Order: sequence, then C-alpha cells, then structure tokens
Amino acid sequence: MRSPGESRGGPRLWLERIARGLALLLLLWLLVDVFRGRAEPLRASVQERDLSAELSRWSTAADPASVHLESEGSIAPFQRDWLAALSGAGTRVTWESRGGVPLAIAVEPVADPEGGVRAWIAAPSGTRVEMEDPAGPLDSLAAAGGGARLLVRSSPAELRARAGGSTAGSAVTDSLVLGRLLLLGRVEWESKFVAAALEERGWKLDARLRLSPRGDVRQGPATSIDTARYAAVLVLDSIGNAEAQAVGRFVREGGGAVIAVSAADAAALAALSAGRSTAALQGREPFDSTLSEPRRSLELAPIAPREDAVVLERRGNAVAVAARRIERGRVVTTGYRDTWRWRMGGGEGSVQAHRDWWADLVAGVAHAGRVTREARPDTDEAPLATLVDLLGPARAPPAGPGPGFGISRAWLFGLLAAALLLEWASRRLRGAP
Amino acid sequence: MKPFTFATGIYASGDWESGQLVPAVVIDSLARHTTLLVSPGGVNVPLDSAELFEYPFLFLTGHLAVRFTAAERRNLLRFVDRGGFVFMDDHNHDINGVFHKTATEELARLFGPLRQVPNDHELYRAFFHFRDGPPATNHEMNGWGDNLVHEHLLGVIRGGRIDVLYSSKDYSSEWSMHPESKRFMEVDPSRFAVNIVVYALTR
Repeated sequence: MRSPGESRGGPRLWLERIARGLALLLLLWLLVDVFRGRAEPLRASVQERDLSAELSRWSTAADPASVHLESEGSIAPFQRDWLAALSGAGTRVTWESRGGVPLAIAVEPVADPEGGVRAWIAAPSGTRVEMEDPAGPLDSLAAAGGGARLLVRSSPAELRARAGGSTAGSAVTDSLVLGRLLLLGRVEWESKFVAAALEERGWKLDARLRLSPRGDVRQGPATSIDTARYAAVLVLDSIGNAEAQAVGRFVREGGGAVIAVSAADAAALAALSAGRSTAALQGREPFDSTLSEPRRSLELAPIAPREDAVVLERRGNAVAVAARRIERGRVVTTGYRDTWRWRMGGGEGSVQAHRDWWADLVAGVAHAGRVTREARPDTDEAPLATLVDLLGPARAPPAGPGPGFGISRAWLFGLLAAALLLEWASRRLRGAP
Repeated sequence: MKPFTFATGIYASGDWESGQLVPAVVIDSLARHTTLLVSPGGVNVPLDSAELFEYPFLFLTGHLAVRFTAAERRNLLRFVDRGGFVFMDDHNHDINGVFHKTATEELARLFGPLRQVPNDHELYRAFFHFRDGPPATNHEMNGWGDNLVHEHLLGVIRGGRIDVLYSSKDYSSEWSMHPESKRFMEVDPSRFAVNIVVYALTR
C-alpha cells in the first residue's frame, strides 16, 4: 500500500528519479571522460615567446603527440632544428605564421680593391627591409620586383635583413684574392683616364696600347693573358686577332672582360661581346654638369644585345650597358664613348663617380681567387624557407575531440552534485530515508 | 672616340696667341711619328670656360706678364686636379723675364712651388729618347737671348706624375714654322712635342 506522501508526491518522485538518473548519467560521462582523457594523447599549442621553455618540457617531462606553433616570424634556428627533431621522433608538428614575412638574404664579397659586400634580399614587393650589420643599422630598402640589393663598402662579416617580425642573416664566407687588370686598346684619353680611375681605386694594372709602328706603350710584362695573373681585361679599342682569341680563352676559363662596343664590332671580339653597336647618339658638348644623369652628356653607341645578354643600363630605350656569361667567365659591353669627359667636365664628385662606375663594371666580371674564412658566424639566410623545408607548409593544428565534448569536467561535476543534492533534499523533505 | 686635339689656352692678360704656328707643327709631328687619332687643327679655348674640360692637353705661351683671373685660376686648378695636363712655355729668349716671373708665380700660387724635372725623367723617354734631358733650342744656342742653355724644365709633380710642365726654353719660337719647312731640316725640331703629348696621354 502506498504511503500518503508517495501518493501526494507523484511528480516529486518523478523529479527524484530524473535527478538520480541524471546523476548516474553524469557520473558515467565523467568516468568515460576520465578514461578517454587518459587514452587521448597530449596536444600542445604554444606561442613563439614560450617556445624555448616548452621545447625543454616536451623533450623531458611531457611527450606530446602533436605540437602546434604560432610563429611571429623570429623563430631561432636552434628552435627550428629542435622542432624538426621532435617531428623526426614522432611528434606531429604544425605551425602557423602571424606577421612573419618571407625573407631571404645572400651576401658576397665584391671584387674590388676597396672591398665591400653586396647583399641580395628576397622579399615581397613593397616590403620595407631594414638592413643592419653587427655594429648596428645600415640602411632601409623597399623591395621591388621581389627583392632588393645593397652594396656595403665597410665589408662587414655579416649582414641581417629585418622585415615585419622576420629576420634573415648571412655571413661572408670567403675572402677574395684579386689579380691584376689588363688594358688593351690604343693611346687615347679614354685609356688614360680609365687606367687612372682604376689605379686610383687600387687595382694593379698592366697595359698594352697601340701608339705607332715603332711600338706600343706597355705597362707590365708581356705575359700570356690568363686567370693566374689577371682578374679582368678591358678592351677599349679594336685589337688584333691573336689578342682577341687570347681574351676569348681567358673569359671561357673564368676571367672577366669589359669591352667597349666600338671595339666589339671587330669580328675577333664580336663573338665575345654582349651585343653589337648601332647608330650613335650624340652627347652634349661641353659636358653638361647640371644633368641629374651625367652620362647623358656622353656619346652613346646603343647596344643591340644578344639573346643571352642581360641589360644592365639604359638611356631611354637605348641599351647602354649589357652583360653575358660565356662558359665560366663574364663579359660586360658598354656603349659609352669618351667617358673621360664625365671625369673632366662633370660636376662636383664626378671624378669619384667616374671611378666608381668603372670599378663597378670591373667588379661585375672580375675573376677572383677565394679563400674560405675559418670563422663563420651562425646565420639564418632564409628562415621561412628553411622552416617549410623542415616542417612542411603552414597549416592549422589537427582537429580532435576536446575533454567532455567541449564541456569542462568541473561543469560536469557541478551538475552531478546539483542533481544528487536535489534528489537528496527532495527525499529528506518528504521524510523518506 | 674624340681625337687628340691640341688646345691653346686663352687667358685674359698678356699675349696668349703668340704661338699660333705651334699647333700645326705639333700636330704634324704627331701624325708623322705616331698612329694617334689627331684632330687636324688645334683649338683656342678660354681658360675660364667649361669648354676647357673638353681638351685635357692645354698649351699656354706668351711674352707678357701673366695674371690669371679668379675664374681662370679656379678652372685651371680643377682642370689639373681632374687629370688635365698643362704645358706652359716662355716665348721670350731671356732669363727671369716678366713672363717667367709672373707665370711661375701664378703656377706656384695655384699648385705650390715648381720643381726641376730630372733630366732622366720618363718624359724624355716617352717616345723619342732625349738622353740629356730637354732638347736645346736654336735661340738658346745662338746667343740671341740669354746665350745660356736652360738645363732643366720645371714642373708641378704630384704622385710621381707631371701635371704642369713649364719651360723657359722658348719652344714656342723653336716650333713656330710651317710644317713643310721640316723637310729642309736634318732633325725634326718638334720631336720633343711628341714626347710631351704621349706623356700626357699615358701617365
């Protein structure tokens, strides 16, 4: 027979049963969750600033099944290698970049007696790249056409490029051993002033210049033209067949040549030159020192470049300087005539500018012996590319069930306790044991 | 390519034009003895003009006092600093004349004191060999003027190179002739001019 309380509390009994059932269900859920949680591997996600500490922990205390890194672009090489090692040991490593800029840098010593280092920087067009050496900031460049380049005369051992949160660095690994230059052509103002400019620059120079049937003007011994003695040959006027063939051999063996296009029209040199000359454009006389581009005052025989030539300088649509590679050597052909007028008649600084221009032409082709430097600073030439190479492309962390299908154990426990309390209170209030 | 052009400097004071036959004789010698590309005629170029810098070889001569203007001094200094070569010759036959005094003062003011060019200097071997230094002129030898042979040329020598060559030997008279006259001479008297030009073009 039912008690009066039981008959009066029909809905209450149902409430108690529901609370009891809910408590049992939650208890089961928690048990399942606890056991499932033990079986589920550890998933770690880390910000870059905490990476060092986490790497140590992952490698000692914890053993994560997967690791996800949120990079801001300045992950250190040792951290990258450490992540790669974790990946190699079976941990799934994923990463994403926040603010990192794809950046790469390469540096090379310049074949110039004044020394210097040339840096090529790869970065998205429009990126502002800050350059620095170990002593501090050097310059700021805007990347265009996928990159930028910088010539640093102070010859630092290392250069770094910064953009966004990314940093790339590269070190000079070789020292150059420069040979001499050989000047071929005729006695004229151009040969005199080109020789002066390059000697002032620090080049040691030999010369063989036609002067008369009695003989040539010679500076230096009459040795063969080879890379053991010469870094580059400058041909400013037509030369004989035998000499032209020697210059060709020299270039193919790795030497450099700077050829005036008027000299290149001769058959013997045409095969070497980066192009042939076309109808000359007159310069200005007297030299106009007020022009922003002083070489516009010079007469120019525009170059019709060969297919494999690279244009280095233009005057309007006309090609002024072009270069090409021949086997192991390089050739630059210039269409400018009487560049000495720039040095004599140019504005302030024209002597230096004329010297720099010729030195740059020579540096672009000169053969130089290399001595590997023993001390090599640790550098990171292409951090993002290396990261992709080691860990694969950026991707989101692997999806997986979280604890309690998204409800925390504390909430589950709270709900369980509330259900039991409700069931117990209901029973006590109706007088049941 | 521009040929070598013999340029005579025009200065405001004195008689810069006193050696008008010299260019033709020098050009003739260059053409006879060398394969240099040479302009068939010389030019007269004001020292205070921008045109000066189109002619890196500059010949200066005269009989009278030389006083450069400020613009001439400025240009001449820049001309030499940039690699131009100046050959200045006293057209008188005397010693310590007014041209010599004033011209050497002007040069010293611009470039520092003139120094004797050693008689074994490479200038005397640049093309023809002059074992005893600068060739003597007829005026020196015949007693017309000072009756003394000037043993040395003077020069502004910087970094081992002669930038300014100064002569008291009156080559301006020695080389004042019509080039055709040379065929009556045993030795071309303007051979030394070839050395000066070749030196300027190669050093």
